[in-house]
Amino acid sequence: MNTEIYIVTGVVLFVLGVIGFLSRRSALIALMSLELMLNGTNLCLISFSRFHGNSEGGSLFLLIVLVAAAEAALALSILVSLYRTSGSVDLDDFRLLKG
Amino acid sequence: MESTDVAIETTQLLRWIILFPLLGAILNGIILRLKSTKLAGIVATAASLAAFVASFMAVTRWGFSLEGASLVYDQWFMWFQSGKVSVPFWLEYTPISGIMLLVVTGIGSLIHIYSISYMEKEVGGYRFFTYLNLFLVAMLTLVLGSNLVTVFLGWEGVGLCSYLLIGYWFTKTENAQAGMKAFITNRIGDLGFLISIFLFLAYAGTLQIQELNHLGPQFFSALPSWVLPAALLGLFWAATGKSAQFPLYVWLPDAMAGPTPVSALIHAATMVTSGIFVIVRVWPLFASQPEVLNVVFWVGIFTAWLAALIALTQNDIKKVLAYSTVSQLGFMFTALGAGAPEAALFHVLTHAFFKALLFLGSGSVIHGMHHEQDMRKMGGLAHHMKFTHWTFVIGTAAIIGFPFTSGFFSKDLILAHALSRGMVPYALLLTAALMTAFYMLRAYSMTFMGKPRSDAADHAHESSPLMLIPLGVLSIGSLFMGWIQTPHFMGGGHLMETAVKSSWGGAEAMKPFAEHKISVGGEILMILAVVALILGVAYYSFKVYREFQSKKFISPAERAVGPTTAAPFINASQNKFFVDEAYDLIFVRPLRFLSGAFFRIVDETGINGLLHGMRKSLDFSSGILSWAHTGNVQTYAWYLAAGAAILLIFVGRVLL
Amino acid sequence: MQILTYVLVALSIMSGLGVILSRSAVVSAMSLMVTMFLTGLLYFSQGSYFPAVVQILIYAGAISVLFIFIVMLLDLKPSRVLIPSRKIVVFFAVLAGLFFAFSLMFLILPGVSRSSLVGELMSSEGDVGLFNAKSISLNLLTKYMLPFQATTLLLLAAMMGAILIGRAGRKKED
Repeated sequence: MNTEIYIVTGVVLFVLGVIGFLSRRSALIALMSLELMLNGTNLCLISFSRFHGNSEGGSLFLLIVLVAAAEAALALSILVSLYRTSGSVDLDDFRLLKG
Repeated sequence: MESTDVAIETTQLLRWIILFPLLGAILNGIILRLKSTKLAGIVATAASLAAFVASFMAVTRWGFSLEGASLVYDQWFMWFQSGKVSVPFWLEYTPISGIMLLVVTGIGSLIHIYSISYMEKEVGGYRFFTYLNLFLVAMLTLVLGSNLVTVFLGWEGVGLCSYLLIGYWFTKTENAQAGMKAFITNRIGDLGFLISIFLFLAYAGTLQIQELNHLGPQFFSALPSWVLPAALLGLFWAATGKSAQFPLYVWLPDAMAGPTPVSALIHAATMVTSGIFVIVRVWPLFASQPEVLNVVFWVGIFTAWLAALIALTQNDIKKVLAYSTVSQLGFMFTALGAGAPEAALFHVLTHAFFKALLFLGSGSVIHGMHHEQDMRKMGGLAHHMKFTHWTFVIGTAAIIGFPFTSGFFSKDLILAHALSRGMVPYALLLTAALMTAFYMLRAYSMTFMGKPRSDAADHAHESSPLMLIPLGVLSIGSLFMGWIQTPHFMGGGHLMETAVKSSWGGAEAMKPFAEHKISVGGEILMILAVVALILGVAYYSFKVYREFQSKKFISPAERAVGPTTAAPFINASQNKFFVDEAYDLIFVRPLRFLSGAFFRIVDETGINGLLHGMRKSLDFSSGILSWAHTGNVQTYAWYLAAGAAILLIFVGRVLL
Repeated sequence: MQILTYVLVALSIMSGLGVILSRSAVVSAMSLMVTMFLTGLLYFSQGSYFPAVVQILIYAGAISVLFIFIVMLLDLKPSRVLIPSRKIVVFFAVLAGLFFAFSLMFLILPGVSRSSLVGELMSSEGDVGLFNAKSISLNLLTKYMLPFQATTLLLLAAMMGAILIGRAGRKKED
């Protein structure tokens, strides 16, 4: 019954990230929401791992942390250069992906 | 090789005959690319002379009759091998190859020397000499090749070089078109060669010429009866293309668009005789098929006759010589058809000398006249160009068969063989010979006699020694080459006969036709009559055309039958009997129409329509889809969320 | 102990809400840091000590600080950060979030509750052997060798990319 509370928390954090990413127009907040989603996922992962009694989840957790760190570094540097060139962090201002 | 009863001698000499000109072509065309045409010419001439020396060594080593039944091979390398088919790149020496080697490299070298001077003002003339050397490579491959595929390689090679050289001055449209005409016409003929190769491969299983000769008629009689005639007719069809026989002769007169040395080397002395050469190489097979030989015979006679008739009225000096070449080649095929390969090859040899001489002489005239080829604007050149004049006289004497010149012997041999096949062919061929005398003397008189009819003719200059030396050498050949094979009653040489007979790797050729024995007296009488007739016609033509004036001149035909009745004939002859126009109507126009129709229906409507349709439909559908791509990251996030939601629903349905 | 867990859960959800609801970037970033710290504490309460330490060190310590740092660096005016979201988008986002939350829980929780192992595991109060550095690194260096190596490359590439992008931006300023 204790596990359930962790899973619920993880899911709630993840969903909060989803809502934030989908609705906030500031790129900075969107990135933070992304971190929130990863966080929720990690929480679920560790809890499942404990629930099953093996340490695989711990390893995956570590890998996800690393990927998240890399992603945050890159995304933030892109954000900084975007801000420098256009002076805006509004996601609606950027349509570079349209061919 | 399966023929165990034949001694095989191997050598490494023959490859050098091909390698020297190849080296010359590579040096000139790829490595040096000399600015000076003269230097390029010297390089090419050196290569050609080296090949001549190598050929000379080969000929002195094996001579003109291979003792017994030995074969001489240069087993160079294996060209390709595929399944049962193996094509070795072997070179083979046979006595007739020896003769051709000397002709090709000897006359070739002379023409190289001549070209140095003839082309001296050309810019970028190294291209010319590269092609010339390349031609030698191809021609020597054709002559030396030991199997039909190697010969075919040379066959195509000379066709290519001929095309390149006819269109040498390609900036002029007519020249480029003449080159293409020669190439395409030859290609039509080459189809026959290919068919023949395939038939031999399929039914005899070998392409080595001597193996085919050894298999002989006995082997082929066991096969379906159409195989051998079809294969031989294929070869003959190819020969009509390369050696300019009816109906494929039309390219040769146009080929005169090339530089004159090219006309002398390729379109008179060597390449055009390769059809005869190839037929002689597989003669044991031809000899067993009298029906095929009959076709050859009549095609030869008809060509000789038709070309001579056209030559009567041509005004371009090179055109006269070109039709004369076609006519003389017709003589050679007549000889083949009459079952006398030695006579055909003998005429090839003598013709190579005197026709090269005549062409080079006309080249000298054209050079002296600043590239004027119309005989109506010449005249009186005998005074300005004494040496050229005399060599031209010798060439003319040889071609009309003046007694004891080379043409006399070879042409009389052919006439004698034609007589053994009946009076009608003999009469036709004799008429052709008389016409030869007529148009040659006409050309001679119009060019060298009378008064100059243009400024250029008035100020014509003699050519440089570099051009005159080859003329002199060829004159000597034209005068005395005939003595290597003399009529029986003169008891002289029989070099041609022995050479031809020992060229089949020990295989025997049957006599295709019963021989008519003519008594010695009859033969002498006949020759005297022919000579008298020829000289009479020659003298008449000489006398008439000596007074040629372009304006108020009445041609002999008009004089004979009246101006109005002769006019249509003269017109027809001048227009080459409208053969080109007929071909245009029968072949070219329908082909153009067909290809145009195919272009519009299949290409434009079918293929283009399909492709454009595909593009349009893609354009349309992607236009719709691209609306979904806003470029906004969050839009894509929404798509992702939607996808995840669908997945979740799916997973839920599976789990629960 | 249970009560403490519930408190932690409530606090972390509240700070998570803070991340996405706040009007100021700095507050958002601080909330993110708090959320991560609280999540780390949740790992502690679960008995997963190693992940808890990693979480606090890397997430709360490094990544969140990076965010705060960027916020400071950009010196964003409130008007720039505070871009009002479109109401219809917010509505649908919340709808989608609710769908995800309920469907996930609907799918996961029954399996978790049905298991008999749950009580047992959680009562063992932190199995030190399960998530210690040794077992995790054994896993990483044997079973997950390839992903682990790939991650090192990823980190290298990310580092170089970040440097390059940063430099390119500076060049344009010159």
